[in-house]
Amino acid sequence: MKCDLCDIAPATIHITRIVDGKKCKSHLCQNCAAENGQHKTPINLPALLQVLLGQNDMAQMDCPCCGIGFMEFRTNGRLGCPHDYEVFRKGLGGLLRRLHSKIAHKGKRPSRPIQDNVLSQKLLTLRRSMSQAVSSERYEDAALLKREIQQLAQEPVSHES
Amino acid sequence: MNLDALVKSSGEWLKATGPESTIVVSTRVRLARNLAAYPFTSRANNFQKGEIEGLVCDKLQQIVPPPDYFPLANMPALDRQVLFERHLISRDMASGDGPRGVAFNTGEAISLMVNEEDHLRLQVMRSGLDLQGAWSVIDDLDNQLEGKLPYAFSEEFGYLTACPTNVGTGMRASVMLHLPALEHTRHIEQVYRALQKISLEVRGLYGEGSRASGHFYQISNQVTLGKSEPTIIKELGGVIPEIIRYENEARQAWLADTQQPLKDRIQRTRDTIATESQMTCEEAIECLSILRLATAVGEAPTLELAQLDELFIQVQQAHLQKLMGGPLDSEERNTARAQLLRQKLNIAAA
Repeated sequence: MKCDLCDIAPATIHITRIVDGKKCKSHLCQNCAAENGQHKTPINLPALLQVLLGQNDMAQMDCPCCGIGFMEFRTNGRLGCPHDYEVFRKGLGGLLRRLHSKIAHKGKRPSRPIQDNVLSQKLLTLRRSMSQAVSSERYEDAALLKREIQQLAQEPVSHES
Repeated sequence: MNLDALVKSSGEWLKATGPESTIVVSTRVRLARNLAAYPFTSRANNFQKGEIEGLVCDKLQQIVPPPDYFPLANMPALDRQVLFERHLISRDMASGDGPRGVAFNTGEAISLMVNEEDHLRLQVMRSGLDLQGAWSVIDDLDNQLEGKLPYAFSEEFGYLTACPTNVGTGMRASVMLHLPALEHTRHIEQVYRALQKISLEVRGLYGEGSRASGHFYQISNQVTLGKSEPTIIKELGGVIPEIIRYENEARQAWLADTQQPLKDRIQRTRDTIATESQMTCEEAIECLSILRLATAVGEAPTLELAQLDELFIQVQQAHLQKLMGGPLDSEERNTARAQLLRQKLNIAAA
């Protein structure tokens, strides 16, 4: 990836800022970051480690259901939704192994049918769209999404695929 | 259930009726659960948190017996602090915002936090050392709820949680131990290191981030993925009797010690309670801790463990203010605390 400013040098500094509730990302080379005062930004240790561990592709990844980025998770230590375990599978594997030694569940499981993954993901995505519609004052869209969510949530559960 | 009435006594898990109560205050097992189709709490907006709260409350009414639900969103800060001091909610939950709450039954043996770090945190507390009993009760509660709520679960990773440290079983089993003698002999560090080596965690009186005030230590499992719940219970349960044995040996050694006799320490503690007109919470907890030890080794025949364990909760600031009938500043609290100790322990002011 090239620097957002000079479009020549490789971007080695990746900055994510939340401005008015919106996520803004910028990717800068060392020189442009220094010229723009970004060198004063505290080192994002999780991001640096991610690059060193060769998981730079993970650093660019966002969950399509809840919108959380992998680096946001690495910084805060909290995932955004249940689907993140699937989306960030590659990045989480090493962490789970360090935390628990093993990464396969051996405990109890629900005896009742589990909500279908596809349905859960669709509901998560719709809920995020509804939230965005409310934030941008598109209330008619939000009402339509709310109705769609209510209809989908009524669907009977089926066994996990 | 009335919170004002609650502060006058302790939960049934704090009555010192369980096994090994002279050293083991209580056993706690908690399960973290989330709803499959909602973002985790930190990512959910208030509308979504409100929906989760409504959904869970509705289903809670169907479990047997249904617990009472206390929404926290508009609850006064002092009442939230009371719930935290009683181990019914976490510190983050007491200071947080948005739709959230806690359900618990009479006796407070079962409680359920809604919209904590995870959508649901089920908790069962038992007096003394009773991991198997606590697991059995919480497993039953979880079974009742799982049929009513679509849990986030994966065959590969188990119960999916906001923090990967809890994924899998979502279970944290912990035992709260009173270890004043091991602290006195400075052997507690060795115990601490040995437990860490076998992936057990040692925390203070109020769990994560709290220090070991009053010589209380919570020992719990770190690993939640790749082991079954009975295995976790068995591994933790296998270690605790050893710690109890070390503490008992250290207590006997302290009783026999002529250089720093335990009896002198107990008498000094009684003198402190009789003479101090003001007492901070930390000082009160230290005094109560020594009297708990004295009672356990038979050096305080007029006191009871349950009475002391109740006081550990009542000397804390929110309980104290509730008991005294209104807000008190720091100095007033310290005076009220010193008086409460003398009155409850029947020690005359000197």
